[in-house]
Amino acid sequence: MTDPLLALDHVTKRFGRVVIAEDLSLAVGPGDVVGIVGPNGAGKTSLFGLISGDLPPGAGEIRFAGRTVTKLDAAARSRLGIGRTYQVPRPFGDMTVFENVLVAAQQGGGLRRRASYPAAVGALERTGMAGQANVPAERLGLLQRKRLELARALATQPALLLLDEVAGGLTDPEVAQLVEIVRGVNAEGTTVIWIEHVVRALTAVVSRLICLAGGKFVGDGEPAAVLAEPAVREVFLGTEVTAALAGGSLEAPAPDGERSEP
Amino acid sequence: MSGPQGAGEAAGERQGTGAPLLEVRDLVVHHGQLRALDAISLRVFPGEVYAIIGANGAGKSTLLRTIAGLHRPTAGSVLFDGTDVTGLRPERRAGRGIVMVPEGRRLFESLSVEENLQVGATFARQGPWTIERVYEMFGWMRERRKQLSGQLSGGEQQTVAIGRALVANPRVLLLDELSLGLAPVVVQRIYGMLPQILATGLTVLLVEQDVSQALRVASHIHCLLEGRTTLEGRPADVTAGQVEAAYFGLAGAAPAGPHGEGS
Amino acid sequence: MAWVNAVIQGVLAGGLYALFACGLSLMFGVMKVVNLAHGDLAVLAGYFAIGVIAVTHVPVLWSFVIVVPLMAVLGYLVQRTILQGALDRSVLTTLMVTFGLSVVIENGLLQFETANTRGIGTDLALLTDSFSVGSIQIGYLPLLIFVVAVVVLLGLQYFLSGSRYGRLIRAVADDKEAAQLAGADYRHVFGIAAAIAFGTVALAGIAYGMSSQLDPTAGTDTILLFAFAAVVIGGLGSLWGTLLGGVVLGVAQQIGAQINISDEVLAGYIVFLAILVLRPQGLISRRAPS
Repeated sequence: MTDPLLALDHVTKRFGRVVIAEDLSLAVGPGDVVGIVGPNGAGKTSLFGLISGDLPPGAGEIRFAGRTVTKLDAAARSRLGIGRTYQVPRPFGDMTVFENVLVAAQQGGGLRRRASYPAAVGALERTGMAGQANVPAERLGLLQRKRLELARALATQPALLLLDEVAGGLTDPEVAQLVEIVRGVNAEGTTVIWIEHVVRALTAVVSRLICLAGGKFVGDGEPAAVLAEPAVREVFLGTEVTAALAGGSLEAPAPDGERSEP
Repeated sequence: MSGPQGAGEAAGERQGTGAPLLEVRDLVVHHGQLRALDAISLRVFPGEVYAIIGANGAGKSTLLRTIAGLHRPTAGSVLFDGTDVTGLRPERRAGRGIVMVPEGRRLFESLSVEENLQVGATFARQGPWTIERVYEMFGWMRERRKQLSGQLSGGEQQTVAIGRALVANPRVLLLDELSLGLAPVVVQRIYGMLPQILATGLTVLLVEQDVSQALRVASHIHCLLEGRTTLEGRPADVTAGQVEAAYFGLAGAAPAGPHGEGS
Repeated sequence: MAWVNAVIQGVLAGGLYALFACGLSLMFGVMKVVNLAHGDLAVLAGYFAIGVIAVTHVPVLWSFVIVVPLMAVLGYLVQRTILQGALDRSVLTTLMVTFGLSVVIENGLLQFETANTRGIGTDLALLTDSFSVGSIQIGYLPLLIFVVAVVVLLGLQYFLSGSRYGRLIRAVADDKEAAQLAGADYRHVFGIAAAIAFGTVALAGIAYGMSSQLDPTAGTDTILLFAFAAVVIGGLGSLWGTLLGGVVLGVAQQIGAQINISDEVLAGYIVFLAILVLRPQGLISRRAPS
């Protein structure tokens, strides 16, 4: 690809003896939309932490927009253009929606007063929250909180947007709305990497799907193809089901006593 | 068979075994504003191994915890032996015979192995399970019974947690993600104990991340996706394709057809 | 010789401090409640004893038998009603509630008693007497209090490690949700822990009233701080740690008094601060490293 926007080079991260990320190398081009799936504990949020700077680096190098950012902290990376949402939306409850987004624009985006106002307004419009600008954040419903979370990330005017499980707990129409917003954001040129359990939200929008399990990339490519790969299926569905999908049928379950261990 | 089986069909095939021991009706559960379960219903009959499967975030553990009483539903009810227990606190449900082995073991780490079992037996019902019997089933436990439970390995802790639940003499044993953080060999060994447990008249309701493992041990499976039921039935009656589709919620996710031809 | 005497007096005082401290430690260890009214409860028990003696004219030692169990029952009730309600809300609420309790008790006492000090008269001559070992004078009362403190702590230790409810208390302290799943109503267990805390602090308070003077504000002025210091120095989670903490505090105070009579209390706090800086987990940490 042309110069990638984000490049991970043999990134490894450990907590004591537990390997969170193992020799990960990744390149994401500008304008891409990439989805990441994987079981809990696979290291997905940690991966975001390594990219956004919330997690101090282990081994390896991280490059963003041509610069080596491995040693930069989260605030610095945010100013460079890496924006992220967090799994649990936690807005500043006493402040209005607009104020929340304004803070993001000024602090995270490093924008001075004049520039921050239009950035905040723009973010609200892109996420459909302009109508709620003056509502105190604590009064928002779940979908709106997630939109606010998204708006806060967008207000920092990121070149790369990291979405962390934003679709959880939403109803079908709400998921569809969210997908539309993400599509719109990407259409304007923002690169998106999206971690999600709600796989159908991802497949509606991403052109590339990566499966992360045990700190390693187990699959990377076109979504339908990745989900059909035995290694990926094995991660979610286990050995027998994967084997059965490849040909053959599911055996009738025998009482475990009769089964010998592999 | 194509498409997910409805609760009615599945229950009809099991009607011969009498009334359900545990029943959940139209359960709706929220975590704050997040809707975790959307009108879930299920029935567990005596002697069954009922497995709940699904992706993370699907609501599996939430369902089990609500049945155990640790979570209050927004709507719907939980019935045990025909009686509505929805309003009962967890300790009262344990007294009736609904005992859960929680996710992550949750042993009393500053207590010894034996003390953990003793706590489990404090409010026990009458029944075949005693601390002695647990020692007989898990030989190593007797020798190490004075050891601090926080110092055991993951697999050992899991067996102690199961033992702690068994000595309470439950009627239905709830197992929440037994395999979490354990090596496959250890997981197999632990699930290998199920027949012994069932032989004493217990019923098991379990949540399992590993779909294949669940299919190996279950007499009935129930797949959740984003808080809704996408598949239900006996393992013998479902195809791998149906399981995959129910798990991911994608129609025709795999290039393979419904009977798994090629990939 | 004066130094040896100081150490011995300090050890004896330490027993009482440990008795004050063990209830504070228990309530924090089990239900994560920092009871700011802890010292005031000791003073309350002392005044209660004075009142009981005045009304019923029983011998002084009988006041223990009457007041301590009543305070224990009070502890259970306060925990089940006021404190549980606060715990269900937030940590900050609980702190404020115990603070409020402290204010209520102190002002209640100021209202009904005077700000002057009172003592619990010990008419038994034996208890005001002392004996000598070489050139060291040891009072019977401080010695008796020390022995009682150690016996109570021993009993409490035995209760926690060997009995059904002791195990439950430890289990609930470790993981109250898991305890619920095992059939225990943790609110009831909390109540029992509170009862023990109130009972032991009442015992300590009456003993204090016999050896020193009580005044309505002694609870927060003196007792609470000493109890805190003993817990911090000794380490949370171990009754022997609490005893050690009390003894270290007592000895530090007496040695400080030897250096300069007005530095007694200060010396104790200097040791307290030193521990906080150098070994914040206390002299005896709770768990063996796993």
